[in-house]
Amino acid sequence: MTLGLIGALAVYALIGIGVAFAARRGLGAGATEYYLAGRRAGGLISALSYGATTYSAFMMVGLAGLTYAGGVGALGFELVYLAGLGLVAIFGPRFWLASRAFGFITPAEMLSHRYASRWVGGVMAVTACVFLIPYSAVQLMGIGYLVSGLTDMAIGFEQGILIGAALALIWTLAAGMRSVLWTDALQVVVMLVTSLIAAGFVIAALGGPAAFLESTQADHGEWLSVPGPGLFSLTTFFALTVPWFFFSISNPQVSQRLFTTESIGAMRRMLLGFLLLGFVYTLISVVWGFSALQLVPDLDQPDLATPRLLATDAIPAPVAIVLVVGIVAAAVSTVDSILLSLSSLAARDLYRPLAPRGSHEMIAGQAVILVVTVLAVLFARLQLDLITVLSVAASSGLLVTVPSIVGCFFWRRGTAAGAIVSMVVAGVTVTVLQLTGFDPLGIPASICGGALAVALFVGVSLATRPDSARADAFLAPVEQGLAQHRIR
Amino acid sequence: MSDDRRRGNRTLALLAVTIVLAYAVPYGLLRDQPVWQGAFLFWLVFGVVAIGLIAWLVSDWRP
Repeated sequence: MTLGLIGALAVYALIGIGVAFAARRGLGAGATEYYLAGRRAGGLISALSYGATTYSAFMMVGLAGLTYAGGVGALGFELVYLAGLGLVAIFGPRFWLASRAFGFITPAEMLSHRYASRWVGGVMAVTACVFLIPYSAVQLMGIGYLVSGLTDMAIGFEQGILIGAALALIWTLAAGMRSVLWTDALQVVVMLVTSLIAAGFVIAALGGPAAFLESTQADHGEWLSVPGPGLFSLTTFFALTVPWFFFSISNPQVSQRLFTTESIGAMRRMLLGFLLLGFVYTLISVVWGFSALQLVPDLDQPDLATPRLLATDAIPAPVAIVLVVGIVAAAVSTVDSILLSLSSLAARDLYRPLAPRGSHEMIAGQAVILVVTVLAVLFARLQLDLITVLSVAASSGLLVTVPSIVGCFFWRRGTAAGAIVSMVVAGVTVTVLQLTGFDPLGIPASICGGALAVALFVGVSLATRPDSARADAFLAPVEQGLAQHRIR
Repeated sequence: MSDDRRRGNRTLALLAVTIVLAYAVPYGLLRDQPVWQGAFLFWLVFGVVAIGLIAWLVSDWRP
């Protein structure tokens, strides 16, 4: 197992490095080329990359663990997220049209322009860093635990972290968004195929699909109901689903993808391709979790369901090895997209306003990729609970940017002060609530943070003077483009 | 209001209703039903319907 896994990881790394450097061919100069692949990404590769970026190690480890602990609610949670992609049907073309009209590279830049204040984008960039660096660290920790556990420490925890970080770093630095797109496309295929094969083996070990359905219902019927064994109360379900519903516009590593497609048609293919991929991968992960319930029952820690399942006889060693490579691919493909997105935010929304000529903007961006990688590795090595809390809080934390993003296109009365106050105050509040575990009046922190952000954005905007001329100038080309493309 | 716009609004409204049902039905009508034909089947159908509605919503785009 150990030698096989080391060999498989080496093959995966070498192929990925080859693909990343192949992507350098045809790479032009400048920030648009580096961060947005020259805005020439096709629909299929965008769909694959969007899938690889969105779905991290969380799916086959975390979602499987959630299913193991809480049952069918995990399926509802993930499918409500998928339905949230309806937001891409609304905001996708608007992001795309605005970025073409004004040359935006980051979503934060778009907000800065719309609200006529550099501070808005700066605050959004800082918010993204605060929540996404710990989130990346947890991905690396996942690789560390999985690889060290399955190789009996032949590859240590820290080595696992470093391998994941090095791959993400190389694949990001090689050719920016181009290498991320190409390696993501490779990785999502690895993720899907390996998980499908592994799920097939566990179902077969349980006697086939009919026997699996029957025995699950007979032995773990409670897991097929809600609230089920207890994890998925309606309140918890709300707390989990609301931030994730808005993930496609609140998380810059995915919302930035709305700037990269070559056309509106390519964006449509990206959206539909991703929905199909997401539906299949969700089903596989949930079925995997249900299988673990029967094959490795009574685990104290549900997150161990996947590693323990891989160690059973149900899965031949070669299949376990490829699945681990698939999970590592899922984690690395998420981390590299986050690295690139945070690099662009730091370079365009924090560095450039301070150095207006922007002469070293690209170097600054690449330096940020290095710094963020080092920070993520350091955070991961600390193995602090705080990191896990912050990473869980990531989607809740980034939810506070949603009112400003929505207001950008749908509320001319929205102001820079409203955007800044809502992001800062609600962002700090939701972080404190998550860290202390305090739910005011029993309302989950994520819902409180979101509601507070809406109230502050509306309240402060109404109390301050809007820049109507800027709002009109921003929205004019967007509305014209929407009419031209027959988009509502 | 043009026919396209009206159709788009109707599809969005349907998607919104579908999402509300994704909370209301499993936690209301299908609560504590320990069978595959309960919340599991409902959420599967919900996923397919939501994807279908999103596809319908973007089918009118003229690239």
